[in-house]
Amino acid sequence: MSTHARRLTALRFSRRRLLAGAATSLGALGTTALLGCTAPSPRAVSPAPSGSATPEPPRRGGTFRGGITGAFAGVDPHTSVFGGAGVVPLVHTYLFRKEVLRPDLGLKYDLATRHELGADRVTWTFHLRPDAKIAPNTLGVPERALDAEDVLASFRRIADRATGATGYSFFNTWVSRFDAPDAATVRLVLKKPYAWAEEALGDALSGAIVPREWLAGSRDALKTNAVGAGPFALKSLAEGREAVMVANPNFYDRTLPRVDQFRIVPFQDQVTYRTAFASGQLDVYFAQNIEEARELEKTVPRTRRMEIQSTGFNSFWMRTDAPPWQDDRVRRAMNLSMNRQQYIELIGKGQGVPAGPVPPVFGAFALPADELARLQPYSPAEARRLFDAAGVSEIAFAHPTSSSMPDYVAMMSQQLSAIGMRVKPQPMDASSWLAAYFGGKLTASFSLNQSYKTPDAALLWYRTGGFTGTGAYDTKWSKPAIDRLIDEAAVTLEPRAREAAYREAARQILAADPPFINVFQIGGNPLVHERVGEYDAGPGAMSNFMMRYVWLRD
Amino acid sequence: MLSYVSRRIALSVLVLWLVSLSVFVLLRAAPGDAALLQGAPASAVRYPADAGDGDEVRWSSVADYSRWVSRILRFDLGRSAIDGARVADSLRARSAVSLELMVLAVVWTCAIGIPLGVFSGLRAHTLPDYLANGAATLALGTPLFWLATMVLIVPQQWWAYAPPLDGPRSLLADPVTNLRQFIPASVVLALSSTAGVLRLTRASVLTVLHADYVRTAHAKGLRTFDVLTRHVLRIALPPVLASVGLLAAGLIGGSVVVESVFNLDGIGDYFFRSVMQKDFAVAQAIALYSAVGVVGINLVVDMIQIALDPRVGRG
Repeated sequence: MSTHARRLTALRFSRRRLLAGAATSLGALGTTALLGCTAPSPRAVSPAPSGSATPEPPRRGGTFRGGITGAFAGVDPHTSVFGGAGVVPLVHTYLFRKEVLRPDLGLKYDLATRHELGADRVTWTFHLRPDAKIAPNTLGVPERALDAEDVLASFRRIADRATGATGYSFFNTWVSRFDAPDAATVRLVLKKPYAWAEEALGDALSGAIVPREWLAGSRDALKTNAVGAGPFALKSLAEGREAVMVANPNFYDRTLPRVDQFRIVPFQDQVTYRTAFASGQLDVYFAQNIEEARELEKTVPRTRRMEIQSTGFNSFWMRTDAPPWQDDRVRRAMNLSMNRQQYIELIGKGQGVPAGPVPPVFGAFALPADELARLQPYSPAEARRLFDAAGVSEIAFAHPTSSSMPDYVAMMSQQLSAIGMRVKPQPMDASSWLAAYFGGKLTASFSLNQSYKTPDAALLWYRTGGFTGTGAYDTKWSKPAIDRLIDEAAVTLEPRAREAAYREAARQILAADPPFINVFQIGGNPLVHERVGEYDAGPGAMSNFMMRYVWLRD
Repeated sequence: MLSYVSRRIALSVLVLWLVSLSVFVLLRAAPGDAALLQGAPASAVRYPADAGDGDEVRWSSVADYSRWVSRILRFDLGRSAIDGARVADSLRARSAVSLELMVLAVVWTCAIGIPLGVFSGLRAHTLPDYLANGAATLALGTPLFWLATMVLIVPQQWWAYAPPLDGPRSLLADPVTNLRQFIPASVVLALSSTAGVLRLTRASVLTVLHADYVRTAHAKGLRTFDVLTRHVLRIALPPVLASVGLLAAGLIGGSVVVESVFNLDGIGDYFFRSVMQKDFAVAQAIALYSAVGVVGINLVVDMIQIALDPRVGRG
């Protein structure tokens, strides 16, 4: 093991890193926690407090205390992507909630009580409940039941490009029209069958149904306050200080939520966040890695540790219209030079799995581990041969200095140096890097990536036009055959066939020397105080939906 | 004296104008955008051409600067691009936190630094002097972020204790919790300035102690206490007090770290976040607000110095 690699094994918290990481929107663990970027099968490592076979009856009352690192950045129901995105699903209702990451939960009805897909496979009809009453508020929104007009108003806002809604691309790409045959029914017609329509509508960041009177207000008001018919009502939001939600007395299920109050405190510093949990001031904490989680489990009394997969991962991005990345051999060599197991051991502290084009968190939609290892092997000798054949002896790439990125860069530099390459990393502060990355001014970069809600979203990196379809972050890679495979997978409605279609798309992408290489999928390590009952640590934003069931033992 | 005061005020206005200009230009010199940094989807990113007159976009022209200055002069600080809140409201809420933190830090600085400095000067080159000086050097060399983190971590590890970290509490509404939060934070913030004041006081006292008139006072048979209070401190302390006024700038800088580590949502913490998030309206307002504070304090200190020593005003 090299000197640097040994140093990495002894990584300790650097405050500069922590501060930078906390201040950077992307990749913040607290956000991961709130956005719920985690994978199926959360595993409780420590035993649950109740040892008896009889389930403990839930109690009502008390204040659940959570934390985030970073900012709320507003609570707009359709554009929030940071800490505020943890508030939105608690105060608003959705037609239903569904995530591909949580097959165990299935589809959970909320404002809708049932729905059906027409024989044409593009017409969806949603039947609404009559008792989803808006929470008491002082903002002039009447305490009435939500109806079809509210759904249409919300859809119209999401579909408006000027809103900048997270769910815009679904409406823009797939939705043909929507209407309301009556006050309790909403109809949505797609342009063509789309396999992820339920996931798009049931997504926490895309599908909030908001009272139309509130949507008619100013954009600033929507950012600074919230009125909805969800299980909680937003009592106060003070950026940098706290968000306090109280139980909505009008909530359609009178037995929920079980806690009286839900308080979220933002932290700028990971050490402060951790200390607040360790000293009993918070009920849940998302550790930075498994070592920290294990240490806290030992030192903090009455704490349960869980292990979950996270969908957040870092990747290497190459622009294929610039040398040397236009050469297929160079891109292939980069992938072959990557020892993902070493990343997992030294950065993930042994926790994590190698990632292909579709992250392993998506289960059967991703390639099986053994096949992925065959298609994406670690082969330094072959990598060196390809670099030599392409006449490349130096690799230059940009990277942000935030979060754990310097560790990834050190690892890549060490692995490339080991095969005789000269490496020139170009560190950039987070804002400069993001502006250059967004604007297509880089030729290669290590990149921090947001999690993907569906395999379809993960594969957009390989589609002509790039991830956003607008040219931003575009690698300029264009393979019509790959585009077809991605599109076909997205319109394959039969689940097994769809899984196979995504696996096949991933195979073909890997065979074509892709310009976007995922490294590995790191683990998530939440710790929960034993006073908390029925806490759902993950995966995905469905954990926010499950907050209504959380209860406290004292 | 009137002309001196007029000159100082004119100079202060000039300084504030230069600060406003540099803040406006430098914040925009670095690439980045508030919407981008929030991880917003591409469709959410707005540019000046299609964004109208909002605060949330990058302004770059002279006209934009003029517009911002005219708004500032009307006490309209705009809205945050991140949370949409009025900047003036946000600053008002956070000012109390920062003010309490700084007042306490100044109290510790004066209450510990000056007496220890005087003591150290009077006992120069003795063991207590060496100890006080050594401690001051150590304090000056200790990084603030490290110290703040240790003050948080060590008691938690050893005694499972940490000050309340779930946001600042009001001194009037919950004084006990408030002091549990602010005392450790302000002590950390004051450490460096206390060391500085200690050393300055010691040097000042030592200089005066060797002055002829002090020796004369002793020769006339005055008691040591009288010599100290009437002749030594009266001359030695004004430059020290002037330096305490100048500490404001340093404390504002230090508060960025301390407020962040102790999770006290004050001006410093807010400024740090606004710069990182490219929230121009907030960053500009705080930078200007801080500059007004520092310039104002220095103006007041100058006035006090003139009152204590009229020769300053004549210069």
